[in-house]
Amino acid sequence: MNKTQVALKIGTLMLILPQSEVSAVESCLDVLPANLAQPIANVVGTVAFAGQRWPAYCVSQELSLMATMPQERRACVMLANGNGYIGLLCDDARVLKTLNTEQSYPLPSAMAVHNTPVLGLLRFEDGLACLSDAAHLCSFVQQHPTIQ
Amino acid sequence: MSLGCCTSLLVCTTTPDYPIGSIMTAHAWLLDIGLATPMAIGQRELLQIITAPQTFSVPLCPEYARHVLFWQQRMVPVMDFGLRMGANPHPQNLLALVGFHDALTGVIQLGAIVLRQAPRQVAVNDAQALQAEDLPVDWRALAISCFAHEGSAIPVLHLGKVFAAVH
Repeated sequence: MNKTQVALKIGTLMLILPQSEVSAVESCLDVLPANLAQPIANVVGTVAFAGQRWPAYCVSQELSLMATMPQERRACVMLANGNGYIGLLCDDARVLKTLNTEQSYPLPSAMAVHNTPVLGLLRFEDGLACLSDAAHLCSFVQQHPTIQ
Repeated sequence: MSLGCCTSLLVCTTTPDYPIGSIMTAHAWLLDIGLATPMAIGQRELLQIITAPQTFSVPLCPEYARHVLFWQQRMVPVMDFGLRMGANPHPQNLLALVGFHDALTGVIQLGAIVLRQAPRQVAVNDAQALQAEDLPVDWRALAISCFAHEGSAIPVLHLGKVFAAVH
């Protein structure tokens, strides 16, 4: 089925999720550093959206949570998590209107780990893209062990 | 657990064409995965040797199963099974493409195993069959049988279990 998707570039990682699950794309300039007095686990800062501030998370191209934000991150996509929103930082976010996700492959069982947000894989341009969705990304960053 | 007759497991899809009472012989591929002894798979499970493949890394996956490749419009997980069993990591420039019946889905699945050198074919007969207790404990759950060869106990891999979820 051809649903409009959004491709998030995070370093060399291409992460694709349905556009309907991306509530907004904010500038990373709007991400304010985390409040050291009231820290939230794994959060690099907070971002304003829909009249409130929400936690913003930063991951590496290996999908490891990062405690600081690299310079390459320029955008912050807002994802609904059922109780509000989270921001996920990326280098670039672009809409894909003609992507056919029927040509994707499920993640082989030998490669799956608990709480992975990678639900499938897809040949994309000259490489590989990981398919995900907002629910699994939110669960991944919020249930990830705290960065030391 | 007794693994019993190893040759029938190496050629499980064929009709016997040998005289009753004779010793059955089958062929296996010995794969060098970087351990002290090689492991074996059935002759028909090895589909192709792939050299210098283009592989793609998938984040968060176990170190020994972090890559996939594309072969005839199918995606194939690449497993450094030697690394999983304690060998050192090895460049993925020589792969054994294997096909096996997946009992869970009922379809033929593909996988690729990282090799240290080209596979070697050997003839195996039932006189070489060993018991599971002859294998290291770690191997018993992943072997469908085992046989004696050149003084070693060679496990015959249960590929369905090797490429199943273990996490």
